[in-house]
Amino acid sequence: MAKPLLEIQDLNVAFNTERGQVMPVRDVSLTVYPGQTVAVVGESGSGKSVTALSVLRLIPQPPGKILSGRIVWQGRDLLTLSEKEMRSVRGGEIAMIFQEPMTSLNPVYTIGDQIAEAVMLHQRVTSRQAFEIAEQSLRDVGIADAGRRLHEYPHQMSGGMRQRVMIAMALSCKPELLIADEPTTALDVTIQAQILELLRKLQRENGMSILLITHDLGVVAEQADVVNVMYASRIVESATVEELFDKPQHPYTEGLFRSIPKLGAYAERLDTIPGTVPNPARFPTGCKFHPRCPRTRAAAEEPGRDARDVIEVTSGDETFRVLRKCATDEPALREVRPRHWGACHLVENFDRSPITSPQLDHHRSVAAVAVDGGAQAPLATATTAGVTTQDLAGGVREGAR
Amino acid sequence: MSSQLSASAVALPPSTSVAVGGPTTDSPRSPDAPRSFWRRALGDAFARYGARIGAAWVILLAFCGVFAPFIANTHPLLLKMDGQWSMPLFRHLTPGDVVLLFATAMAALAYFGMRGFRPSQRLYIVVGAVLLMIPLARWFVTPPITVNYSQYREAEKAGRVQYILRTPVRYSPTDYLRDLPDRRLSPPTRHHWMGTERDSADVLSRMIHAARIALTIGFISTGIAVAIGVVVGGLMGFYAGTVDIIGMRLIEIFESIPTLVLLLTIVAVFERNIYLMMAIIGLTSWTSNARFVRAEFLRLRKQDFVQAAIAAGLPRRSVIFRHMLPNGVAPVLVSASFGVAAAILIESVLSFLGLGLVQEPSWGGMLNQARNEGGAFSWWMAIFPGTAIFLTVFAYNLIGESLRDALDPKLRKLD
Amino acid sequence: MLSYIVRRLLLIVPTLLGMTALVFFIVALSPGGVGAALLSQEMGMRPSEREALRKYYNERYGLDKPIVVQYGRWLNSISPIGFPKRDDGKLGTFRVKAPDLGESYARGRRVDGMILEALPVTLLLNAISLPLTYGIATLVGIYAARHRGKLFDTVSGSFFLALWSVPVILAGVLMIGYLANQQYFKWFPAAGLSDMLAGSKPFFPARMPSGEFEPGWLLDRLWHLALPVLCLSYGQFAFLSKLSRGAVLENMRADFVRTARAKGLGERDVLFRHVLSNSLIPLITQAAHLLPAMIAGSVVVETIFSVPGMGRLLVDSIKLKDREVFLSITLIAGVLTLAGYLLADILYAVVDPRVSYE
Repeated sequence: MAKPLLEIQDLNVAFNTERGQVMPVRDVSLTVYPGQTVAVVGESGSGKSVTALSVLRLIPQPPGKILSGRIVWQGRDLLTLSEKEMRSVRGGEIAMIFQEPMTSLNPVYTIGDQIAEAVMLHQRVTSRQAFEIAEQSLRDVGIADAGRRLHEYPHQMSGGMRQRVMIAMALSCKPELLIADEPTTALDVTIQAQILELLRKLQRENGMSILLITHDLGVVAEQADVVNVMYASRIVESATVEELFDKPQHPYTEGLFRSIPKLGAYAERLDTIPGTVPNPARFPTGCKFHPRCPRTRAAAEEPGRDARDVIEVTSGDETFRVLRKCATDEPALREVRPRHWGACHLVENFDRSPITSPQLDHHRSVAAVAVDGGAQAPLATATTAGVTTQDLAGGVREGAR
Repeated sequence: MSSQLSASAVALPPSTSVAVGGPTTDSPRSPDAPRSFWRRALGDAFARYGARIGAAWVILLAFCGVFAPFIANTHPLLLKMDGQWSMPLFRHLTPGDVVLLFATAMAALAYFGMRGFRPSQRLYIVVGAVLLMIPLARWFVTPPITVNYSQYREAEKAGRVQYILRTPVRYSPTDYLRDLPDRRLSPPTRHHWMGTERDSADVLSRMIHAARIALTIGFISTGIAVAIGVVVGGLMGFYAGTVDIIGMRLIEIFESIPTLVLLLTIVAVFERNIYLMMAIIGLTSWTSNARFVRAEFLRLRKQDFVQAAIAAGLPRRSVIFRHMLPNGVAPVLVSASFGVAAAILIESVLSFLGLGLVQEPSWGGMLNQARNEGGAFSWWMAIFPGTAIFLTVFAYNLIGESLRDALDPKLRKLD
Repeated sequence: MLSYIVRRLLLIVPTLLGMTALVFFIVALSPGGVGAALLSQEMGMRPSEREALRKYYNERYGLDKPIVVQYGRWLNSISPIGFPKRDDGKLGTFRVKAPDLGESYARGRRVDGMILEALPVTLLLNAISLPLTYGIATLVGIYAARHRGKLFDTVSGSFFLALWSVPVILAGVLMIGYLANQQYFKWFPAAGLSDMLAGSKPFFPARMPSGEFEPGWLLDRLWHLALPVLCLSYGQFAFLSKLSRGAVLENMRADFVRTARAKGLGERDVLFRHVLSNSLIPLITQAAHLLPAMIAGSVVVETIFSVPGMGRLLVDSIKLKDREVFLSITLIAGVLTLAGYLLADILYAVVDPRVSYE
C-alpha cells in the first residue's frame, strides 16, 4: 500500500456558543491517498465542513477550538505547526475551494490580481510572471479569452465561471490536495456537470487528490473513490464507493439511498428518514441516530426479544421502543466487512468486528455506480449532475461519458 | 448633522430551533409554532439591553410629561388655609393638562381592558375620544388667568396654614419667586435641587415640564414625517411609472434643503408657533421614509402574495393597507425612532439660539443660560438640561438601533 | 460615466428651481411678504433710510408686483446666468453673469462680500476636521478588527452611539465652561479665531530677543481652532467610527476573507489588503454627505465659540431679520446639498467597481 497523503486521526473540535460547548467534530478519522477522491457525505450540520476547515486550520479560534487529534500531512502533524508554517501549506500544498463562488472572491480586485496574489505567495516570481501563470491557469480551467478575463471583476462573471476562477486560483500553485467544500451546490445542474468534469480532468493531469465534501449522492457516485458518511459529528460509515452503494451497512446510509426518488417506480409518497437532524447542543444519548432508526425499532418489536434489552424512549410527540444498547451506548466505528467500516450495533457481527482505522487506498473501477445494485438506474435527486441517461438495464454501467 | 443611518455589527444570539428527534412527518404541528413576524421582531428588539434602557427612559419622560402638574407645582394638592379646605392644584390645571391625562387614561384602558374590541377598533376609540375631549376641555377647563404663586409661602410664614399637601417639587415652572428675592441663577441647594434660572424659576420644575414639549415635538413631527412619507412612498412604489418620476423630483426638492437651515429661515419670517415648527420638521424629514416605503413597495409588488391578492380581486385599498403596508413599514419604524431623536435635537438647538418657543420651558433654552457675561459659567444650567437632552436622544437612538438589528434579515443567520 | 454626470446635472435644474421656489415662497408668503422689512418697527430707521430701502426692494423684487414676478426677478438676480441689469435700468441679453445676492440693509454691505468673508472660515473648520475624523475612524476600524470578540467589540458600539448622541450644544457649552474659563481651566481661548494682536506676530513660533517664547500666528490660530474643531468633529468621528467598525467586522466574516486565508495570506495582509479595501467604501462615500451638513453643523459651534463663519452669519442675520442674507445662505446650503449628493454618487462609482451608471 502506498503511503497516505493526509491522515486525520481522532479529530475533536468544539465550539463555544451561548448554549454551552458544542462539538461539531467528534473522533473523526479518515485517510486520503495520492490520486484519490475521498468524499465526505452528510446533511447540513453533520460536521463535514468543519472537518474540512480544520485541515487547513481555518476554524476561527475564539469560538472554535481543536480539542485533540492529529492531522498528518506528508509526515507532519499540521496541528503542531506554527502559523507561519501553516501559511505556506495553505494554498501551496493544500488548496481549498468553497461553496459560494458569488461571495468567495473579493469584489474590488480583478481576478487577475487575486490569482496572482496566490501565485506570488508561494512561488518566487515577479509580478509579471505571476500574471502569466494566472492567465495560463485560467486557460487550464477552460476559460476562453483568458487575457481579457484577467482584468475583469468578479461581478462581471457568471457563477459557473467564478467557480472556475476559484479552481484556477486554487490550482495555480499545483497543490497535492484539493479540498472542495460543496463546490457545485450553488450552481445550475448543467454547470455542475461541467465543473465536476473539470475537476476530474485536472485530477488526472496533476495527479492530485481531492477531499470532496458534499451532501449529494449523485456527485459521490460520479466522482468518489472512497466515501465517508457523517452523521451527528461522527463518521458512521466508511467504504469504497462500490461497496457503499452495493451494501450500505448503517441504517442512516440505507435511509439516504431509499430516499432517492426512483424513476419508473410507482409510489404515492417519497420515502424519507422521519425526524430531523439532532441539535448538536442537545444530542440524544447512545447512538445519535436511534430516535429515527427503523432498524432498532424493528429489533425491539421482534417476537422473542428479551424485555430487558428493550427501552422506551420519547422523541417529539412520539413514544416508541428501541433496543437498550442503541439508546445508551454509542457504537464505535468498526470494520464490519473487509474494507468497510460501520458504526451500528445491529450490523451482523458488530461486537466481534475489530476497531481499526479506516485506510482505503482505493481507486474506483467503474465509471458510474448503480444505486441499489439492482434494476434501477443511478438517477438520484434532481441535483445530480451529469447523469443524463438512465440505464434501465441496471447493474454497473461502464462506458464513455 | 450627519445622517442618522449608521451600520452596526452587533450580532444577535444565534437561534437554534431544531428539536431533538422531532415529530414524524405525519404530525400536523410542531411544538413551537413560529410567532408572528411583528411579535418576534419587537420581542427581539426589546430583549436587548439598549432598547430596554432607552424604553425605560422614554417611559419615565412620558410619565413626567403627563403628570408634570402633579410632580412639580407651587399649588398644593390639598390645602387648609384659614380654616378652609381647597384643592388649588386642580383649579389651576390647564386644558392641555387635562387632555393629556385623559388621553393617557384612555390609552391605558384600551391596552389593558376593552377585551371585546380588536386592536384597530381600540385605536379608533381612543383617538376619537381624545379628539372629542379637546374642545370639551377648552370649553370647561378654565384656570384663572392671573396666578399668585407666592400666597402659599407667605401664608405659611404667617401661620395661617393648618394643613398642606404639596407635590414632590414645590415650584411651578413659571413661579418666579417674587416673594423670595435673590434666588436668581443660584446653584443647587436644599430648596432648589437643581438650582434656579436667571428669572428665579426652579430648574427641576422646568425640566420636568420641558419633557412635555420635547416628547410632543418629537412625536408629532415624526408622526407627520411618517404619514407623508408612507403615503408618498407608497403611491410611488405601488403605481410606479409617472407617479414615481414626479415623486422622485419632489423628494429631491425637499431633500435638498437641510432641515435646520430651513427651519431657521421660517422662524425668521414667521412668528414662533409650536405647531408650525412641528409641521416644518415633519415636512422636511419625510423624504427618507418615502424612500424606504417606495423601495419596499417596489419589491413587494413583484411578490407572489401581492399578485395573488390583486388577482383575487381584492380592492386596491385592501391590498395596500392589509397586505403590503405591514410588510413594508419595518424600515420606517427604525427611521421614525431616529427621527424623534433628531426632532428633539433640532428643537433644542433652536431654543438654545434663542429662536425657539418663548413661554414654554425647554431644555435647549435652559442650556443657553449657562454662559453669562464675563465668562461666568453656571454649571447647573448646562449639566442638568444638557444631560436630559443627551439621555433622551441616546434613548431613541438605542431603540432605533435595536429595532434595526431585529429587523435586519442578514443578522438572522447563525454566526 | 460622463454621460451620467451630464444627465444628473441636467436633472438638477428642475430640483434647483423647485428648491429656490420653495424657499422664496416661504419668505414671500410670510406676514408682510417680501417687503416685510419695511414694516418692521424695531428698525427705527430715519425716513431717508426707509426711502432708500423701499427703492432697493422695489428695484430688486417689485413690491407691487404679483409673487410669481417677484420670484422671477429674484431668481434672475441671484442666478449665474440670466439677464443682467444695465445701468439704465433695462435688462441686457441672456448670458452668464455674476450672481447678485443683494444688499444687507442691517449692516449696509453687499451680501456677497459678507459671504466671501464667512465662507472660508467655515471651510477651514471643516477642512481640518475632515482628515482628523477619517484618520481616527480608520484606526478605530483596524483596532476593531484586531480585537474581535473582546470587550471592545461589545462596548464600542454603544459607546460610539452615545458619543454621537451628545448634543453639540451641550458639548460646546461644557467645553467653554470648563476648559476656556477663568473659573476652571483656562487652557483654551474662549472666542474668536485669533488673538487681537495676532496680526502683528510672526507666523512661526520663535524666540524673541528678550528671551521669551513667542507662539506666533500659526500656533495661536491653531490654539483658537482646537475647541471649535473638536466640537464639530466628535459627532462625525463617532458616526464614522461606528460605520468603520461595523464594516470591518462584517467584512472580516466575509467569504472572500476565508478564501484569502485559504490561499495562505497572513492576518496582516488579510486585514489591510482585503478587509480594509472593502470597509473603506462606505466611509468614502460618506465624505460627500459632509458638504450638505457643513452649514447646519457649523451653526451651533460658531455661535458658541464666536467664530465668524457662515453658521454664525446665518444666526445673526436671522436675529436681525436681515432677509437678503439668510435667503442667500439658505440657497447656498441647498446648492451645497445637491452638489454633495452628486459628488457622493460619483465617488461611489469611482471607489466600488461593482457600481456603474452605464
